[in-house]
Amino acid sequence: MAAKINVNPFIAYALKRFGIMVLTLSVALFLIFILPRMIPGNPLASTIFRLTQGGITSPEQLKATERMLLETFKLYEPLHIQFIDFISKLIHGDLGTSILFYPLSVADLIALYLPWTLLLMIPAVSLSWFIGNYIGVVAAMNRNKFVDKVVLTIFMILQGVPPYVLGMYLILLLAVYMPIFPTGGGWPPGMVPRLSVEFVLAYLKHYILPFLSIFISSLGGWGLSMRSIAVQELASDYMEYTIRGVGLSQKKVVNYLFKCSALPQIVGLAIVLGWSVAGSVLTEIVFGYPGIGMIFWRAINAQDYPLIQGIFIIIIATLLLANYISELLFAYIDPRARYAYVGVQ
Amino acid sequence: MISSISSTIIRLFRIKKFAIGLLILLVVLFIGIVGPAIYEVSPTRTIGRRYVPPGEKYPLGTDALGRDVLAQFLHGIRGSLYVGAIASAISLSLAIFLGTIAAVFGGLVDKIVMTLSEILLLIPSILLMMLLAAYLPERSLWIVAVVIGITSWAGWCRGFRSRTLSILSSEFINLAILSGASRLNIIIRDIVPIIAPYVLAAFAMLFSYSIMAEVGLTLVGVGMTKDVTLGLMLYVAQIYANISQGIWWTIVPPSITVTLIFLSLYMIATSIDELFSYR
Amino acid sequence: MNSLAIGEIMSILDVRNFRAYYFTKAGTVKAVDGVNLSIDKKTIIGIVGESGCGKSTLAKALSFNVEPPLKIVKGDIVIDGIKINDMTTDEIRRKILGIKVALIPQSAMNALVPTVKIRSFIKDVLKEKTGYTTLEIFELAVKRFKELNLPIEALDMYPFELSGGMRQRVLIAIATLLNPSLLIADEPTSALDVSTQKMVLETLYDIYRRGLVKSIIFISHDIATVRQIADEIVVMYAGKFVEKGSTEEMINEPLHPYSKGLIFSILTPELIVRERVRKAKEVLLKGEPPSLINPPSGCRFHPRCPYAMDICRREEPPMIEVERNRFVSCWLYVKR
Repeated sequence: MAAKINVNPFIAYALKRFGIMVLTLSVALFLIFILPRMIPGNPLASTIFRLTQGGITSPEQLKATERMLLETFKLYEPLHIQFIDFISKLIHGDLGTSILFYPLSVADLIALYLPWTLLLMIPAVSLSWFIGNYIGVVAAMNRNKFVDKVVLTIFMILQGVPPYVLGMYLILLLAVYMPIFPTGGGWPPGMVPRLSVEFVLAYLKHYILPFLSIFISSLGGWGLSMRSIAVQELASDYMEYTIRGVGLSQKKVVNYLFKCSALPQIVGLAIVLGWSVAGSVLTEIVFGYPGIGMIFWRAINAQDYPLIQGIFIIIIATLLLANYISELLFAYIDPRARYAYVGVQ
Repeated sequence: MISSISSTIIRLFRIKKFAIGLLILLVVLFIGIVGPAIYEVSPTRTIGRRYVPPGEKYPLGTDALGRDVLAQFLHGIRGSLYVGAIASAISLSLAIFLGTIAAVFGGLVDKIVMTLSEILLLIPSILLMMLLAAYLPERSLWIVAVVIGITSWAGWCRGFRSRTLSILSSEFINLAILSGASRLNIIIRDIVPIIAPYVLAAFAMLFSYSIMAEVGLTLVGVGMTKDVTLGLMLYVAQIYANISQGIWWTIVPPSITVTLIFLSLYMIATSIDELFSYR
Repeated sequence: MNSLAIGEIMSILDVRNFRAYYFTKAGTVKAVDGVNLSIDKKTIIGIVGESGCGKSTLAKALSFNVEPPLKIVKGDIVIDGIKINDMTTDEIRRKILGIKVALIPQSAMNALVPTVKIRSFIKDVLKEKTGYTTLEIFELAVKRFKELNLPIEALDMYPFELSGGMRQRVLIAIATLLNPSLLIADEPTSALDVSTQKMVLETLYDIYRRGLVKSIIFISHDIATVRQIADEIVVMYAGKFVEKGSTEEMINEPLHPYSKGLIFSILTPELIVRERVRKAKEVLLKGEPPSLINPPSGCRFHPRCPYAMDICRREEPPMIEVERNRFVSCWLYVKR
């Protein structure tokens, strides 16, 4: 007779979600592998072209270089061998070599550009979360008054404007018509990134507009959702008692209301941060900001599939991880959710 | 039944948000449908010098290739609306179909559909688009629309599944079946009124999502190349660095319109939601 | 009942001809329609009545929980000699709530903010209203918890870690930390099982006994509970007080027909030993409380009253003092 094992429902939930994550990752890896490889055409062409610029001109040398590259990238091998090779390299952390940026490795490239993307996205998204939510709470407390209506309208319009569209307008206004800020790039051309005051200042100047476009466009979404959560919370017994029964000050009430309403927003933040790597692509393109998104775009244009692969893997991994963490967070913070999830689904 | 439909519709119109959203949408629709027919300039032929600012000759100026921007704009609206309509139709059908069979059949079917939707939710549609982008250098809006359609059903599928589940287990369905009403009768009189608002809201949100997705994909370069859409206008503007040169007329009209379409659909969807969740 | 020290005059609560209405689209709900209440000594008053009689509205009004559509239409509230109606909401919040008057709400079990530790909540509240330092606040809290037999560990916990009854008692402790003169308890024991009810009642009586509050207004529909703790009982019906008296008098010899119905229908087991049970059977409460938008003419109880006379339909009976501190509003007792 089998003994009944009593598993902590939280652990059971965590394991179940982990399994789904692994499954999704496998499917994703497979797709990531196979799809770029189904691209017709010669991805090496652009590299070889670049190399010819560099000095290799004789046809024999070209052919030899081509053969060498083909070997490196194993393009002649049957697909399943390539896949095995892909997975085994992946486990060792080797994401391959970029074709476009040959001979740089994909991992190196990502390590080079990813920090800039994170430096842009994480502060912008987090600050937007905090301020947007705060305004949402204040709006909820002043429900239906003039302030609230104004805030609601502004936020509703804002949340419909994608960051890159906002970026375009910001450039037009503040970089072209009123040339306060530069029109793009991460830093002035010719400057090399280093830890000097000069560089940091120049970088910040280039940083402001892309930062603003992400910050402002996310503000609306957070504000609106937080406001509706806070409005519901205001109707709760404890908020009513705190405000009217005990008579706590406005400032403290906002504080309490924020804490009570923040839970779903925290989960949302985790998810948005997970998407931030993928979501920065278009903004970086518009601003010419040297991050992962920019590189990704160039990789697509040049059909540099190891690089495309590598970036996809990073993007998907970040997404899945953030998603998983947010699921765990939610279940951990709300004990009721743990029990519910194990049963349903 | 008819009277309750019309009274609901009237109540819907009373919501300011809905009226404004619908108005904006209808205006855009009108411009997109009627515009190209009235303004008969071709959007794809070079007819003048590049970067001519808006003026008497060209109401919205010309773009980087000397093409009439107003013509592009009008055709672009039409194109974007097509994409939105096709993609959301595909997506909605898939979502309803898969969601309901998952609810009705349960068991293995349900598990498969759920896992599939979960995976699809997390893998962006850009992957598929890229593949096609490489195969077909000339991409029409049909292709983009189809791709967007088959990759965006996942989120709404769950909604339909849970709603179907709750309907199936509700009291009055059982009563209806017991009362001997024909299946068709049951579907029309009992199921449809409940599902209808959700379908409408889902369609509105999917529509706006598809249009935004098209813009996003095209801007990255894997979207369409052939037919004119608002996304394509922005892509061309981006490629030729219009912004930094201050060429605003190729950017402002399409971007404002995209935002307006999104906003109007959002307003419509949320007001439908508001109305029906207060019941 | 403690008696006053000689020369000490207290007016804890003075409310005259108090009216509070809800102004809604469906009509004006006259929830509290002309009520007089005076407390000038240490006492526990129980206000009883069925749901819909306006007692919760009275609780809200007395604890300054008034927001639209509820509006105080007439009558001053004077607490400890201070006329409250003249004060702004902010002043009331800072100087009266928790200091002169405290409320134990109907939803006491869920009235503590779930995301805040008990001690943090106490700190925030007291910093608002007093100039005490954090350390002083903590010491006060510990002392009070010990006095009331509450576990000190609770201070470091979140509300959801405590049981329902414990939360209620903690709430009572917090509400009375600053020794308000008047404590208003709105259905404090309704959602509890009997043993928890007992603990809560004991806590309430404990703070009263120790003089931490001067008087308690205990509002409930459950007479059996009220009678365990109250010195005086007031019966409320359709927005008005209909009878007042000491607990003993009210339980043993209710005068107003409605009071009779209320009390006898609930306390029958006890009365079986008394002969009055025969008379009790006569007054079975039939029907429902009236709408407060359009209350009946004359005496509001007349549609349900087995003793209704002609005058009851026409005129509202005055509240008369039949004996010392014994009031009733019924034509049966008006001598002509």
